[in-house]
Amino acid sequence: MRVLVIEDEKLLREQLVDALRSNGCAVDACGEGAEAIYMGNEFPVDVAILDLGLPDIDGLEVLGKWRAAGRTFPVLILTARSRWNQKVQGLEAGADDYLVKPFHMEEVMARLRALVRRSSGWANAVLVAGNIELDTSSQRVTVDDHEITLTAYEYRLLEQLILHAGEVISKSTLAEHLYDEETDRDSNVLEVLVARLRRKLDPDRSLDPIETLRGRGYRLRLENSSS
Amino acid sequence: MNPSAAARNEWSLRRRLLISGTIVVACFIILTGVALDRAFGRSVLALNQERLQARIYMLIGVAEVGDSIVLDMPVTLPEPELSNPGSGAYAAISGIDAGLLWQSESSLATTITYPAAGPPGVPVAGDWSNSTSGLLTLSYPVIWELGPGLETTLIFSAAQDRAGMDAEVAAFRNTLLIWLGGAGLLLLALQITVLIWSLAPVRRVADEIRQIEAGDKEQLSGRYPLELRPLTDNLNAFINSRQARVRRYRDSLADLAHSLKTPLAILRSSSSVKATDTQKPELLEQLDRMDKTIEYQLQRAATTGRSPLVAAVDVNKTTMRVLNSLQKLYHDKQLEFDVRVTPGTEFMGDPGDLAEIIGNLGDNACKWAESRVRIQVSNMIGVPERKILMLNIEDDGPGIPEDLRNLVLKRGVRTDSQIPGQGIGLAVVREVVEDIYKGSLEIDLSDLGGTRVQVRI
Repeated sequence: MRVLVIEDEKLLREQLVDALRSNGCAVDACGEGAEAIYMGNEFPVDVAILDLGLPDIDGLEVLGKWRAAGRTFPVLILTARSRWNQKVQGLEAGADDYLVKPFHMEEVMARLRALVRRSSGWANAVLVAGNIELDTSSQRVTVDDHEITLTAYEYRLLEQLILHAGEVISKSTLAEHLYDEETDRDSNVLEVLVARLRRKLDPDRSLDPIETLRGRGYRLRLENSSS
Repeated sequence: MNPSAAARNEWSLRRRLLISGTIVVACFIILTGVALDRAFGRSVLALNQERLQARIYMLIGVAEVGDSIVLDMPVTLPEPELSNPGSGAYAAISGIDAGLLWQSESSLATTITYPAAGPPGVPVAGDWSNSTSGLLTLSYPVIWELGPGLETTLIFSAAQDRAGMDAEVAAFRNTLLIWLGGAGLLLLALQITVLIWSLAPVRRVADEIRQIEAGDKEQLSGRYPLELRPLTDNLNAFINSRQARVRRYRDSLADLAHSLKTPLAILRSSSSVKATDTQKPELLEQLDRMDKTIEYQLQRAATTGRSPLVAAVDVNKTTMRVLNSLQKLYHDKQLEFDVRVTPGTEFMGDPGDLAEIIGNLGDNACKWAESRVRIQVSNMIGVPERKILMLNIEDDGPGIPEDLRNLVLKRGVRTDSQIPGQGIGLAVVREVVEDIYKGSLEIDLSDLGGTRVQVRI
């Protein structure tokens, strides 16, 4: 999942970026409203963390610009403004969740995951597709009730596939949501990653949960799944 | 001092002016009436006395007295009424020693008591104010020369029925009453018109202030007379400066919040990453304390409170906006909200404060609820007569044990730190409700099974 972080305080921004990356997210970050509007409108964002007290343009205006441009990704407002009428304003402007500073990093992570899940139409914290279960809160993956260990990128890939289970996702879309602007994107890297994930999910090649649709992309089978 | 008590003790300007004006008009009318009545009464009396005197002169002119004091009166007198019995005009002549010598034919059927005569040449009137006899009487003793060196005193008397004079006076009084009454009513009407006209600017000020309170206006805009202008100008200046001060105050609070909380957030996340395991609990605890203190003080300071010249808050709108936010924030819990706001419910205070009260209490309820949250808002008329806002927020969570209910209202204390939150919500709400709005906040059990918080403001 690709997260956009808008926070003008450099130290806090870096901490958020570090924490998100270590939790398996692709992160884009900036500290100014004008840049934030551009990134939100142009990047394939899954979820955004938005500070309201930006130096140039108020966060609420940034949010308004995104929504006016038809961008529907969920937004978590992370701000020092704790009055309820400010919360109401933020949520009415199109934000999906509101967290007051200072915050616990774990809570930020939990809320981001919930927002992404919800925006993909999943009601539960545990995503299920066929014999695969992905617990977004503990980040554990089980296949036929056996836990398997995944690297950060493998986890991101599986999460992205399972969030959109049954849909065809093109390689470029996948890459966009897995890697941020700072990562070198090469289609070979993605293919290698998919191959590694297939081996881990299905060592004896009996189920083949990830389909390859030539020229179109990948799709996670939905058989026996209940969402 | 209680404003309604003050209103009872203090008479309104209109009432003062109306009462004093009415008294002035009434005094003027009554005194004028009395003076005119007296003057007229006197002149009528004087006129009647002159008439009686003239009758007596006429009698003196026609009387012929013989040597033996025998009166010789003509059969037809110049005043024919004296010859008609019961005509109301009477006359008599008597000697000082000889008694009644002559009386007019008109007085034959009646007995008339004439006043006793005094010294000759001085007319003596009867008691004219006494109307029981029904007559005005006058006696006039005259020294009559019977011959050289022989004289006697004759008393000429005249009487007149007073009905004519009384009717004249009554007619005058009637006319007087009609005219003076009419003039009084006219003056009163004029006075009321003047009153309405001159108090109109005062009423306009009151109207405009009401409009400001209703939120339809921001300033007193009308043009006012010189006497009121210092008041209206100052009021405008006051409204302006108060709005500006509240704005400035809030802005600087927001700045302060931002500049304190962001470093706190940095400290917290870096200490949870970089601090050693022995340092961490202590560091995080202290950071938590700082956070709560800042939050608590900021919330307190940001509360506006009840102030004059503020429009009533549409409670339904505020409640629904907060509810929508709560539904978004607690989307994952799939809570069932039962919200009942009595239509037309109003709150005399700051909309931000109301949002803060409903938001914090609702937030707590949502945090603890298993599946249901109930919010009820309505108005109640209190004593003294003033609208009280009743707010009930309930959940079906575990509820707060009785021994902990007082504790949770203390600042910064949270009975259970498992559920994330500021932990000062209830304490701030209590402060806002009890200290700033002088209302009450009670915690008890809900019939849903959890906590019920009841607020009256």
